[in-house]
Amino acid sequence: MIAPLGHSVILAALILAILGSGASFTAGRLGSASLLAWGRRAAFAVLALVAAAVGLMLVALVTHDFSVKYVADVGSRETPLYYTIISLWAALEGSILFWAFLLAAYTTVFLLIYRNRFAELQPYITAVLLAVSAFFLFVIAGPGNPFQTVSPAPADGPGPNALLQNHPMMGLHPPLLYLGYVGLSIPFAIAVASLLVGAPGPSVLQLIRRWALIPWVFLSLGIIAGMWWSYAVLGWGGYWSWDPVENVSVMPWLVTTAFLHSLQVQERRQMLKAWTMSLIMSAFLLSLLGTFLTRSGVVVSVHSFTQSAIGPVFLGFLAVVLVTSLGLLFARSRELGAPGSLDAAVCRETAFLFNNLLLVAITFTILLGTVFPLLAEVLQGSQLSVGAPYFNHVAVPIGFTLLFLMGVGPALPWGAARLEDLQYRLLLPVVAGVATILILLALGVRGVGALVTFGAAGFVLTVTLERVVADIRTRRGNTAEGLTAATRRLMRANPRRYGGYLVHIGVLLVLIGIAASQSYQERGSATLRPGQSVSVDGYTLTYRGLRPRQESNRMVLAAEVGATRAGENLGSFRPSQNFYTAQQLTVVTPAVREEPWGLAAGLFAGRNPLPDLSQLLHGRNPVEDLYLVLEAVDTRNADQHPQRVPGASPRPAEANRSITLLVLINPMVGFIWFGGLVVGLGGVFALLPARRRQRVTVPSVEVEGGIHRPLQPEEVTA
Amino acid sequence: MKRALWSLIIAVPLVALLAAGFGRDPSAIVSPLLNKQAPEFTLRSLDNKPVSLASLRGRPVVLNFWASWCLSCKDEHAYLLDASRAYAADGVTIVGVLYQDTPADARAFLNQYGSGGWPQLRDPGQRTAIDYGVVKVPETYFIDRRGVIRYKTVGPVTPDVLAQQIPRLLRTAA
Amino acid sequence: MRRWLGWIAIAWLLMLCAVALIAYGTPAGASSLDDRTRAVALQLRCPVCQGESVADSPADIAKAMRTLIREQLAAGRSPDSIKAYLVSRYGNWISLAPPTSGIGVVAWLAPPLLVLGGLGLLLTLIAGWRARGMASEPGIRAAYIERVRAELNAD
Repeated sequence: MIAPLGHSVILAALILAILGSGASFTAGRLGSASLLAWGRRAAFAVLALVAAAVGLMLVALVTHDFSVKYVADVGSRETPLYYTIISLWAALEGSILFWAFLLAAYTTVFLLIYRNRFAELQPYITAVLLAVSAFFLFVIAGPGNPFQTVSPAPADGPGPNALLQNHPMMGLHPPLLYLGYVGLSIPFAIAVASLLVGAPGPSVLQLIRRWALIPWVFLSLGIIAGMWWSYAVLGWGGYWSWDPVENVSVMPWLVTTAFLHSLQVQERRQMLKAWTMSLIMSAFLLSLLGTFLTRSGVVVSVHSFTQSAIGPVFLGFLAVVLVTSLGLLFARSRELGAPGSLDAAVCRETAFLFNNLLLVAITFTILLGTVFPLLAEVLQGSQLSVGAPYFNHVAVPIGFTLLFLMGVGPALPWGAARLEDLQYRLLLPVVAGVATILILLALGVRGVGALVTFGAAGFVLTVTLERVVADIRTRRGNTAEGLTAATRRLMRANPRRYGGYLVHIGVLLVLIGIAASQSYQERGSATLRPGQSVSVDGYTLTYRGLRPRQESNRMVLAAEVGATRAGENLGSFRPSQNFYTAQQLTVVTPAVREEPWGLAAGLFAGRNPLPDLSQLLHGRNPVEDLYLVLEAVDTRNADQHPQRVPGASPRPAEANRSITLLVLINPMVGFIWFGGLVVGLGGVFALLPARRRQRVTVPSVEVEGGIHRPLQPEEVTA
Repeated sequence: MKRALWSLIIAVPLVALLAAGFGRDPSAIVSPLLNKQAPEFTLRSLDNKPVSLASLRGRPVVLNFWASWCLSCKDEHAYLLDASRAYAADGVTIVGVLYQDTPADARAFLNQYGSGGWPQLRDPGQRTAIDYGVVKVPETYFIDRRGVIRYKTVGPVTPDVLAQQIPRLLRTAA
Repeated sequence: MRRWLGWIAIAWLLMLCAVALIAYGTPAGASSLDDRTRAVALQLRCPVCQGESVADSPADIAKAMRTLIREQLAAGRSPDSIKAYLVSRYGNWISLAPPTSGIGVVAWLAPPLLVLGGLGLLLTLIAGWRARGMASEPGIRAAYIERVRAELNAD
């Protein structure tokens, strides 16, 4: 019942999307308002239909209707309700349905907000968005159909992939990422529409900027959420492995960041128009390419969905979008190619140009590395891998350079900088950066890479803060406002600039966290019987016993481990191996004591943070994670193979089995998550409209008793 | 319009490259040991007798990595039993190497499915498996009389492969 | 000379920093056998996983490989020779970095060439843009700047 109904709803949406797209496009050519109205109605109807389809799928999932193919693939009666609901995006077909829903929602929101503006572009924007929707609906209706009927309906299903039901974060990470990927369709549509009509003017550029920044914020948060998921859920102690699916998420982000910078150059000097347009169109292309690469089976990834007929279809669509984008850019090259001019070689404009060069270089490198195994095999038949050693080797130097640039850019003025003046602006930040390095060296911190990162961070932070202080001082000099009033009004008047500075600071925090956690990780591993302890880097971990627990969909084999540090009891942790019965798969789940969240949470719970902070005096970093992994149970059988599941059937004296415990000390990982939030916050702030209030004094004359009326123009003397 | 054609010139090779990726199995691997000398080993059998590859020089060897817990090894074992009987007179030796298995489980498997009488070797630490580039079980190497690896199957051997490859090994000179 | 005082100070500070880093920045003492094993294992791909390194993979074959690497390092073999051994048995794909010969050269050379080429292109473009900027209305611009300077100096 649900399956054919869902399929019909999707077909109807597909037809409406095609018709609506055609109607809107024609409306643009003919200038017909009524056709455009039909196009808009089609867009709203598509949203209603796709929402209905999503609703039907959710109902099917929750009621365990296994006659629907998608539910038969990822549903299970044993899966808890929360994971059943979020299994909407656990597998390929459902995730494409979710994508189509988000696209329809974005389209509707956009059309409603701007229904009375940008009349010239509306038809083409609607047409492009509906055309992209039509593609995704075609995939859902055809090769990637989640609504196929399965007959006879099985009694139960395997449930979503064990990795995807192991942690509640699975409910947040994909939606955030998808809001980013899907959101890039909008600036793409605006860009295409503006190129169809002529070339984008300043107000259109602002529109594109806003609708590029929104998905950018989601992508930033989604990428950080993915890193956190990888860290806290996957149990290998790291947060980034240069897996293809990670790479494809960061490429659109990098290109959109480049766009947001080059746009500023275009705004000020009316140059780089073609380049800026190429960047934002590439962002959308990369998000499509990413979806293609990870879903077609062409590249092996831990996220790889199985090979299916969807691959060639996606590639075809990608080709169409690529040809359209390039064609439009070439066709409009005269309008876009206004010759640029600069007043000086050293200025913020050139800093932004270098920023673009580096960001595009990293993007290209990541793309090359990700598809290189495919390239090598197709061109030469060689089988190669490209992994972390390669990406770290090429991306890190470029990353360092970008870090320095983040400090140099804001220090440079727009227009022209005299080299002699620049040195004074840079002197204090350089002092701060060098001082950071020397102080850390004196405190005993080692490791060139990390120290340079910290020094550069000090440099960039000082530049940024110095800029803000200088701006506040200038404003107070002009308006004689108090400090808080001046700061508040300054920020509200220029949210773009200060949001940008906040984003820079957030990026700094992320880079500091990455540098510290990569350079100073400590590891230790031991086989323990109940009561035995192991010491790693000042922590003492005592294994108390095994505590197995049977849940509806899995068997949680948890080890109770007590942790102390310098005599202080840090509590008890339960790293576990979770065995999912339906899929016969074990997920190793770590137990992590995360700082500084622990300190902050402890503050709220009334716990005294001083003992932790006093670790600083002992030369220890209080902001470090204690990361415990239950590597193996009953390790006396060294030849035991992985498929024989440990603890599949609980035996008596369960609690006394021996374990192998892996202990990781990860310093300053919390900075990455906190920095990510700051980046998101900065992006949101930059989206705020600028509020500039100006006092206007009107000459007036008193009429009676305190009431004034403005002077008429003829009454004003001198 | 002519300029817009440039877009096709750029797009077509890129798309063709990606399209060529279809039909590839990203997990199919070619062994670098093909047509090279098989790595030497001396391992103890389940009966605790040492067996070395050098001692088998002059005879074709079918080297089979397997485990009792691997489902497809069960089917493969039946085919290997047939082959051992069929080629016994020709001096073809099948050698089994255990992969991440316990002797007790291996013996139980052989008791249940039949031991072909060929040596079953223990490989502590999987050193020999790593030496041969074994990725997962079952994998089988066809080694000729001179000790050169002529063929490798990844996954269970089928009667067809055995019928094709063993005669090939027999045809090679010592 | 005074005009460049700031730059001299900056250069001096950076040099001081570099010296301090080189002298004290590297941790004293050789890394442990565990660390060296991990360093080698991080460069190899776990044969049964999708892209995980031998260092981080929980698979038993990865554990066996880590033990093998450890023993060989303890016996004095170099990391490169251990890697080469495994590549000779499994194929190039077991190395997580593409080989530096054959088609792998493209992967290693492309990023630096791109950056250098892009840099060259960018510098050429900037020179051209600056030339155009200097050429347009120099008289008005220069006069305005002079006036501002004069007023500032008059205070």
